Parts: sequence; structure tokens; C-alpha cells
Amino acid sequence: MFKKLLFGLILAQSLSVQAADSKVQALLKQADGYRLADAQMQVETEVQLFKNGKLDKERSYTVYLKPGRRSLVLMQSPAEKGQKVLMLGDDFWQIMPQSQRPIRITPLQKLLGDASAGDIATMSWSEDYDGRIVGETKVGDIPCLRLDLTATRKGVSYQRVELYLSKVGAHPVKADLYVASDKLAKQALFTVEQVDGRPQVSAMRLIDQIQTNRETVIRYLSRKARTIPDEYYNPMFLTRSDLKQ
Amino acid sequence: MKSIYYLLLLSALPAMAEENGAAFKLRAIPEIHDANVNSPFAAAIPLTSLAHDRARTELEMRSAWSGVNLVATALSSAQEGGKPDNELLVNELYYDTTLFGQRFSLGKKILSWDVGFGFRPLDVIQQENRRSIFPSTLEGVPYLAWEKFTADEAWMLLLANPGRGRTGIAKNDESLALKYFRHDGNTDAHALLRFSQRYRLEAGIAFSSVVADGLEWHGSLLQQTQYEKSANTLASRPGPPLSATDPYLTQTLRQGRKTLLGATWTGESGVSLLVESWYDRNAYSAAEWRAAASLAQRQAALLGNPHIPETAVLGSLAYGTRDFARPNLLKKNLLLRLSQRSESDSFEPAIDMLYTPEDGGRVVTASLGFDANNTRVDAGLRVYGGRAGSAYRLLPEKRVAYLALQVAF
Repeated sequence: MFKKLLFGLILAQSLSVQAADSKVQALLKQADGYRLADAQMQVETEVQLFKNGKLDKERSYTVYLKPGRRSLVLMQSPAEKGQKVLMLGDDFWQIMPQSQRPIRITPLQKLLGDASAGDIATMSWSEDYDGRIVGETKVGDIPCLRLDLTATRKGVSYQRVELYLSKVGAHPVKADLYVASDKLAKQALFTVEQVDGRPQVSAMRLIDQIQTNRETVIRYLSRKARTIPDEYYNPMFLTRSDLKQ
Repeated sequence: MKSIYYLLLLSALPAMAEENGAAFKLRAIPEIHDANVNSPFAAAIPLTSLAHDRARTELEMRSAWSGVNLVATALSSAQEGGKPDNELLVNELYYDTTLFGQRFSLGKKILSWDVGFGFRPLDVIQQENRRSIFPSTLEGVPYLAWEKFTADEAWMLLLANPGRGRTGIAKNDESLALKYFRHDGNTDAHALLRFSQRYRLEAGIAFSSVVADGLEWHGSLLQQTQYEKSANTLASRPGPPLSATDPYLTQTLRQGRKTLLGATWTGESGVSLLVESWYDRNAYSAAEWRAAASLAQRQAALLGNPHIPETAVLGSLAYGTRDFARPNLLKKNLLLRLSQRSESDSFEPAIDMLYTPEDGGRVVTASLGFDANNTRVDAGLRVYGGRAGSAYRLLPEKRVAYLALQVAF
């Protein structure tokens, strides 16, 4: 009798955790929809880096995204023209125009540079994170669900994310981004506006929590569905110029 | 005439940028070189390009239109005591296309293939000098290539310098090469075969593997059927060690080999450490450098001899400085590089040391980069030193300081 009761309790606990997990995943997929309307996209991005409130640098990027955590970033600013970064799940490559050779970079090297390639090209939480709802709170005057997310793989830029989603519509409002040492690295604030007749994240403001005088604003200038062949995501294909430079 | 051409080019640039989305970089790089007066080669400095202050100005254009890619540089350089030299260089001009489902590429392109940083054994086509100070954009190689890609693998069959056969410079030789690449999880593998008249068959393999969030290691091996080594015949010739003509003789030797093993570590703070060790059978041994030093000392001792023309001595000494133009001065090399770069910091300090364990020589380079929006400034100091008699102590240069100003628009 006692064994049956214990078994029942464990089963009920397990089912309740699974239900919570699937609810979090559903929320994350809903939140992803505000940045990625289609599975395969081309996104034109403008990045502004501010130092002590003054504009320090401006950069522009073309980002191609494909399911399976595949993304390709082409740098478009005069100072970076010809550079490309390829991300395939936890594996990363970079090509510099001076040498035309794709080189392996580590997840930590991906964080270096004018703007982190991870911040520019990562637009999905549901593929990379899982977690639980830990409470409800207001961000500004928006009632939000607070989610505590942990990376499900090693290669992501931030190993833990505290994500605040609006209770109505589950659009992203704020995120606290923690690196592998559990140090709070950045705080992200999202702007949601009507774009092409539907609410979408139009900008993300990243406030550096380590060097607090630094701020990055990422604006999504255009998003369109675009399918490019698998071979374009081969690291050696980076030496070719078939894609828009 | 050239000045007019450059003025016309400069005046046309804004229109080209507007039409083609071209990117431009203007660079000015002055270098101050300090002579090593204790070098046995020091007397020959006026006849060489070593230990002379110099400056170069480069305007680089990068553009693409209708599938054609162009990188061109208008270059003006001047050396202390010499006339300015102006040049328009086409670094790359190539076309990528797909015909009947097959990928082709042709033109002139930079073709760097290795995984290393301080030395690249598998750069059998590009053959660049990896240790030059603030290097300019490389000049590509004429080629015709067929390429095939899957999600994980890539093949390239390439004819480099078509129709040229064997030339006076190895980089310009015609050759046929087959390159294979595969990535499997955290590891990349490369393999190549190349055939040229100069080296016959060359076979190479390389790998690069990320083993932790901040740790990567890599290695490469090139085996050559034959390789070339030039040596100063005056070292073994009886009589006065002087020559009115080029005293170097190039020998073809069997079984060349180049190997490299290295690792990079990057911390969360942006600090990176690079460690690389390599072996180049084509380079001199410590004993060969001792022979070169002994020859230079014997030649220098003839200066002031009333029976021997000074120009003959200086000319022979100047020929000997050619040994310093090799990509590696010694067979065994160790490189350590410590640098700092972060997303939010504009300054990038770095220090590196190249050490040659066979003779105790070393080259230390410290640099600081500052990166603003479209402007970048780099400054650095390179110091040659090490044990007395080592190759780098024999170099008739002691120090080089440089400044590089770069504006992108």
C-alpha cells in the first residue's frame, strides 16, 4: 500500500514537472515569434555602441538563419567589410578578408569584437534554453512572468537567462544575461512595435553590467523569409562570394 | 603621370562607393628601424633594405558587382635615402559561379589554407611571410578551381598560376592541388595534395579542435617529395670570401617536412594566449648560421685592406643578408602571444615572443591597438635579441618601432 502511494506521488510530481516544462517551452516559442517570424530568414541589423551615453561605434550586419541553430553573419560596415562568422550549433568559424581562411573560434572568442556575434545572430530561446516560471512581477508598468532559464548546450553566449515575458502575449520585455561563471554580464530591454502589420521586436538595448558605461542598441532594420542551401553553411563556403557581401 | 592617375582614381572613389557599395581603407604606416652596429653584416646596411626607416601609404578598395569581386590597393612606399615607389596592386579579382550544378571559381584570389598563426605549413599556394610588421593585404594567386560542398565536407581541385610552368619565384609556379575539408562536431580536418615541377608531390594534413569553451588546439604536417635550399658558396670556397656575382647556389634536396602544433586559450575577460611550436626542414640549422656568421666576420675583416676594393667586400656582405629573408631563420621555433580584446574595450594590447631554441635567439613584439568607429591606430615595438651568435643577434637590425593609422570609409 505504502509503495503504491509513494509511486503515485512520484508519478504525479514527474507529470507536474513535465507540464511546467512544456508550458515554458510554449512560452519561449511564442516569445521567439516576436523576433523570428519564419524558420529561415535574412535579417538586416544595425548595431550602435554607446560609451558614457555617447555614440562610440556603428556597425551593420546581414544575418542568415536556418533551423538547427545555424546562422551566418556578414559584416557590412567599411571597417569590417569581408568578415564573416558562421555558427553551427556549438561550433563557430570566422573568416577575415586579409587571409581568406575560415578559422575555428571558441565560444568565448565569439564574444569578442565590436559587437558579440552571439548577440547579433541568436534570436531563439526555445532551441537553446529550458527552465521554469519562478514568479510574476511588473517591469515598468507591464505585468510579466519571470522565467529562470538554463542553457541546454554549452556553446551559447549566456549560460543562464532571467527572462521577463509579458503576461499578455508573452512578448519579451527584459532579460538578465549571465555568462558561464554566473556573473551578470548584460541586461537586455526589448522594444516591441507593429512591423509589417504584426507586433515584432524592433530593437534590443543591451546594458553592460560589467563595464556599466557601455550600452549596445541592436535594431532589426528588415526581416524577410529567405532559404539558402545547406552547403552555404559549410565553413569552406565562407571563401566564396555567392551571398550578398 | 602616375600622380595624375592616382588623383583620377581618388576623385572617382566616392562615385564608385555610392554605386557598388564599395569599402575603402586608407592606411599610413611609418616605421623607424634601429641598426645593430655589432652585427658582422652592419657595414653592408647601406646596400640593403635592412635597418632603414620607411613609410608606406595604402588606399585599399574592396568591392563586388555582378559576381566579380575586387580588392585593389594604390600603394606608395618610400625608404630612407631612396625614391618613393608608387604602385597599383590588384590583390584579388575573382568570379564565383555555378554551371550545371557545379561550383567554379576563377581569377586571382588569396588562397590561405593552413590552421596556424605564426607559421602555416599548408599554405603551399599562398606562401606568405607570417612575421612581417603590420602586413599589407596579401596579393592573391591566379587560379581556376572546381569546388564541391556538402553540409560537412568540401573538395577543391585547383590549378594555380595556369600556363606559367616553373618560374623564378616559388609562389608564381604553376601547380595542381586537391584540397579536402571535413568538420565533425568540434573538430575540423584538412588534407591536400599538390603537384608542381619545383617540389614534385606534396601531401599535407591539418586539424583544429575546440576542446573547451575557451580552448582550441591545432596542428599541421606537410611532407614534400623534394625541397630547395640555397646556401652561400663563399662559406666553403677557398681563397678570399668575395664574389662579384651572386654567390648563392640553390640545391634540390629530398624529403622536405614542415610541422606545427599549437593551442589558443581565451578567458571570459578577453585575455587570449597563443602557444605554437613548429619545425621547418627548409630553414638553416644553428651550425649553418655559425658558418654564415663566420663568413661575414671574415669578410668584414677585409674592410680597410688597401689591396681589396671596399665595394667588393660590402657587396659580398650584402649578398649574405639574403639569409635573413627566409620565412623561418631556424628549423625549430616557439611562439608565445598574450593579448587582450573585449567587446566593450577600445584598446587591444598584445605581446609576443618568437624563440629559437637551437641557438637561443628571440624576437619580442609589443603592440597596442586602439579601435574607434571607423578609425584604428596601432603602435608597436619589435626587438631582436637573444644569445650572442644567435641568428636574430646577427641581424643588422636591433629594433623596429611602427605606427599604423587606418581610416575606413
